[in-house]
Amino acid sequence: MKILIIEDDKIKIERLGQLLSDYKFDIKESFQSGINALKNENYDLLILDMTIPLWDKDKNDVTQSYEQFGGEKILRELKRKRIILPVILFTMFDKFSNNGNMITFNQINEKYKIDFPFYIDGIYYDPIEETWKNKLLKLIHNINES
Amino acid sequence: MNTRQVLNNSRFTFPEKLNFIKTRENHKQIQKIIKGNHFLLKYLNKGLFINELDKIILNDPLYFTNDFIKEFIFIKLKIESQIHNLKEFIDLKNLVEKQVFTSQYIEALDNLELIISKFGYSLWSIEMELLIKENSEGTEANWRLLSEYIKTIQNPFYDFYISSYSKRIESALSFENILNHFQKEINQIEASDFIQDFFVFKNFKIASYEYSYDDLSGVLYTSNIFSIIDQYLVLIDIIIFNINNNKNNHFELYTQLIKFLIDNNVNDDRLVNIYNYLSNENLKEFVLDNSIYDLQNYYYNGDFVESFKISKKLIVSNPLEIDLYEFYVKSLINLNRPLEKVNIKEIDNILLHLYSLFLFDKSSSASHKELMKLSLKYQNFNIGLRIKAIIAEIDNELEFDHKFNFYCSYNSHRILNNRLSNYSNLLLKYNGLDQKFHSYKSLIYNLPNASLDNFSSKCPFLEFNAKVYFYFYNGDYEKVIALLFNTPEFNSTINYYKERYIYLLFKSFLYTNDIHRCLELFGYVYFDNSIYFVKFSEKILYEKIFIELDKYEYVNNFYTLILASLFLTEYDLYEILDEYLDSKNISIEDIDELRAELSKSEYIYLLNKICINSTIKYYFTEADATDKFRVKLLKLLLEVDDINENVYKDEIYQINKNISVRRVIKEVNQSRLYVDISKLKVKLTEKNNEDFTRLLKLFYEKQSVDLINFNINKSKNFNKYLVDQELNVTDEYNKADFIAFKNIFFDVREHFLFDKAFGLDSSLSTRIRHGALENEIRSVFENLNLLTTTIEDNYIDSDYWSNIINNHSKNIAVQKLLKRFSKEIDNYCSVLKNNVIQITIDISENKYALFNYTTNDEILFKFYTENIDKWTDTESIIEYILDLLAFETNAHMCLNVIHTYLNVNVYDDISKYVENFKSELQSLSLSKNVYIKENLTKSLTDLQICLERISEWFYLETSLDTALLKIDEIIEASFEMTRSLYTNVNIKKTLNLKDKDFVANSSLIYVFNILISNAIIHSGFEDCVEIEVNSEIYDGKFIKIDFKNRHNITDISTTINKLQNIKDNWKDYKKIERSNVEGQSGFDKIKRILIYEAKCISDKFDFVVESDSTMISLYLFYTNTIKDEDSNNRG
Repeated sequence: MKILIIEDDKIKIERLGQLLSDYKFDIKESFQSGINALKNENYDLLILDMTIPLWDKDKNDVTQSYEQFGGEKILRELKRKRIILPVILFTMFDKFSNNGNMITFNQINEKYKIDFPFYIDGIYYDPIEETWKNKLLKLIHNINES
Repeated sequence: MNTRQVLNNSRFTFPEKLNFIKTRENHKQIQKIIKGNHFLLKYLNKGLFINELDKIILNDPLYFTNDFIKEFIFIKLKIESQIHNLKEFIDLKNLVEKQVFTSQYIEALDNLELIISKFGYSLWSIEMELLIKENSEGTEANWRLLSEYIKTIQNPFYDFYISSYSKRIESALSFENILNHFQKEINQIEASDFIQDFFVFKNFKIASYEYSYDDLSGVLYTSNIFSIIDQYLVLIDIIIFNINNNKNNHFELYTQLIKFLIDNNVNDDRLVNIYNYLSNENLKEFVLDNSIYDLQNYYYNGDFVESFKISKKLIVSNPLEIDLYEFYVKSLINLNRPLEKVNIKEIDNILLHLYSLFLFDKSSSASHKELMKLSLKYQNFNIGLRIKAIIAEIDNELEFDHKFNFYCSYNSHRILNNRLSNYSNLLLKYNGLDQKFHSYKSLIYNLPNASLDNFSSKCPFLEFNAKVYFYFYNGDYEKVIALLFNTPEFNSTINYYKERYIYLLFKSFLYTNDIHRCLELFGYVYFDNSIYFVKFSEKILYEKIFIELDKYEYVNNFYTLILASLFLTEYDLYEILDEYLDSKNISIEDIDELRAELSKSEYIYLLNKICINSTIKYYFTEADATDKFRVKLLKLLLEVDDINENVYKDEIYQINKNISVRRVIKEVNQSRLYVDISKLKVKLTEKNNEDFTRLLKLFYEKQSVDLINFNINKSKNFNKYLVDQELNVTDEYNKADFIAFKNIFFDVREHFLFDKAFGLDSSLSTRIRHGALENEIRSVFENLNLLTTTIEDNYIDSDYWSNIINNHSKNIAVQKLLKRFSKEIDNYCSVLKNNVIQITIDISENKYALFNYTTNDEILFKFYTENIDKWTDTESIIEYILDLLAFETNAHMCLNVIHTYLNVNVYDDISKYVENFKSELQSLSLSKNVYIKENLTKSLTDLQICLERISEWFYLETSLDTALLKIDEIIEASFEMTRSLYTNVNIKKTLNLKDKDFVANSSLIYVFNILISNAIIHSGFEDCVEIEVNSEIYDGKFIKIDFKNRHNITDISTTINKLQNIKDNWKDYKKIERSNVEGQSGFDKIKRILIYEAKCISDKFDFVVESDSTMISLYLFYTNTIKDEDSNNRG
């Protein structure tokens, strides 16, 4: 199984890397590098952060343009470009601000399940709790089995 | 205690008794009790007329019951008592209004004086006087009078209201501007909701606004404190408001009062309209000049010459009848004739804008706005609200149209459409059998008796219009489409008709789900600049396609893309653009291929409005590539659109500047440490020549005799040395040649590290420790509102979270945590700056310093013995040591120790504070909208990025080969960098650079960083700093840069003394001893950079400190220009 991780947080990358050491995975740290990888390579699973920079760090603007819902934009790109692969949202936020309105992780998770047929589930990453690990491994196992 | 007991008890005052009745008794009893009690009624009528402005006492409004009927009854009782005064007032009011409108200001003032003498001052009387001043003498006179009133009255209610009114009638202020002013002011006053509602209602009856008290009981209550004149005027407006908003249904209550007023001959047009609307009895008729009915018939029969003549005559005799104006301008438009004035200033002004609006051409938009302003200005006259009714009808805001018809002075269809039989009979009486007006309006307003058979006109457009509306209202959209497509009238040259036809066609397409034709019509409307399309609603089409239907179904239509661009931005718009290009099988790089397919206007729109950076950035893998592609598009635009040439050129200039600034900042951030090795080499070679010769001599002498010298490294171990006698041996470390080498080494190290001109500590201080390090880290948390600032060393509350957290005790708890966290971060940054990012040559003196150049004899001796053979001359040993130090700095310290320290230790330390903060928040159970925990989580990722960025600063450059940059790029980059450090400060810059070709070393960035930081820190303003930079050539050889900032400091003498001291010492280039001391003047740092890095210092320095600003003038040697540089390169 070949996994793509789109994530810019070093700690999360490190923890994911440790957990997924048995798998082959690539890491991309921005919307653009992530999209390019998805267009040019075949992956079996995408693990996706929500808030990501638009461009890689060394290619970004002075203000480091961030895409607040970058993860959702990637899902929209996949749907439009018909790049179909299982996607797991991996975020450390349990709520998000959307034009001043708060939307919870659960609400977003349910919305994506409806909007994007290839979206599997969302995992809330808590640096202290370890439950995310089992949940993620279980999801990957299920994807592998199916 | 019951009411009788209270009323009979002399210990209770009248207000207490009234309050008791108001709060305890029911509606009927209130009226009965007060009407039957002479004393109470007398008290209630006290102070209703205000005779002396300087002694204004606000009437007691009693208790607020939040019961509309009770509040209404209390005012009704007063109105009934004052009926004769009110009748007389309304008659005089009507006269004054007419005189104001016909520019008879002297007569109007006389009558106003009469009103004041009879009925005292009121908000209305003050308004009218201000209006007369504005119209007759201009805005300055309005201001002067306002000032006099405010001085005299000295009452906040009056002050606020009349100040707002004075602005509302200022001729130069636009509608939007007035609204903005008012909104800001009302947000600032500390008044209860009902008072704010009162001010809004009185000032902006015409605006759509949500009131706290939806039936306006609060407004009614507040009006009690003013004159009975104002109470009456507000009460009638409130009845109209409530009827239109279906708020409460106290129609019987209203009818009672209105009937009472009409029966007492109060000549207020509003009363008749309300009565006719509410009552089932016979219609009250307005007494009108019969020729008005003739006018209506002539117009709708298409006899425009006649309707023009009659309306012109009637306007002068009935200047407050806006319908006459409308007939007048529409007759002229149908006759295709220019506007003819009636030579009365204000009437001509309204006619001009009404004519222009009904032309529906390019000029109409401005007149539309102007009429909105006029409707606001004359809101106290019925005509102001009638102007709004006309605008509402044109805008298709039918709700407003209805509301403002209550201000009509004739029997209006709009109000009487539920009593049509009565109305038809009424019109029949005047219009005779040929009811053109009524028949036409019935069709246009879709009234129950509408029939095409009843209407015919000589004007084919009116007939056609009536027919189209009839079918439209009957839901026969196919017929509407067929009519509009196949009839020559559709292509009318009169925009007034065409605008309506297009609207009806659009709606018919929409109702029949013909989206493609809707889009085509939208495209036609969008690019047709000759017609002012008001009713056409892109929003409806947008919502239909993008929300109701599937947006992707229509993406191959270019107009879908344009429609999207009106409502979407960023990724949402990119998505539609991408789908459109996909449908055309064109990549973004080949977008120019669409030039052949699209019209010129469409192509320009695509490139100029859609393919902007925020949209196209999703196509490119880096910021620079996005900018460069945008420049390419702008160049294409220059080829096709020379009208906007300057706009495109400006954008190209701006983008290129951004690219440069980005490059400069990137360069600067990639290595902030600098030691000028070549300069040091020259300096040290000369200085150490004798020592090196001596060293060589000693080295060769050693081959024969052991020469011992005093080893300075042992001086600190005297005690140990004396005790530990066994160490008292002559070892290699004490040999004279080694000692001589060490002297050279220490000297080189001292200069490498601490030379004021070229050493490492100077760049550490100027480029990293001077604000940059702590502000960069602080900005991570400031951006997320996680830090507060201090006043006199005490952390203050965060307004940001106070506004979000409604629960008082939770807010206090969060504020406490925020303050603690702020202190932790600040203390940590302080330690980082003062202890960690420091140089030490003796680690025992500062064990935290990361730039650790401590060495010992063992290491040095090894180094010495391994390399002595390689050193042939002074230059070679100096170079060798300098290279070693530079290598150690980069390889060992910067890329290893410091990188790890920042990214691991600092991250871990700070994240502990963050996690601690988060865990304490957990127990507070904050509500969903308080996203402080999420911000803390986000801060950890941002902190990683920030620390990585800071790590990149730590790379030592040893030669000054940075490209020369244009001065404006340097200044812009500097502003950009400083701005990112002070994210909570709004830095407003004004650049006026006369010689932008002046080029300088990029290190000047640090000079401006210091100046901008000084301005922020010392200006005395917390949130906003205004900085102006001017430059000009001075004396033919300098470029003079004036750096001016506004300040708010009271003691300017200290600043003057400091700057004078700097000026006095400016010429002494050696006096830069404080250049690497933090918390000290930045001017030594500036001086050092100008001398040794930018190399453009002159002996001139100047300053001007004024009461509100400080200006620093730097005079830089003007030797490098782009031309010089180019010629040098060519040379």
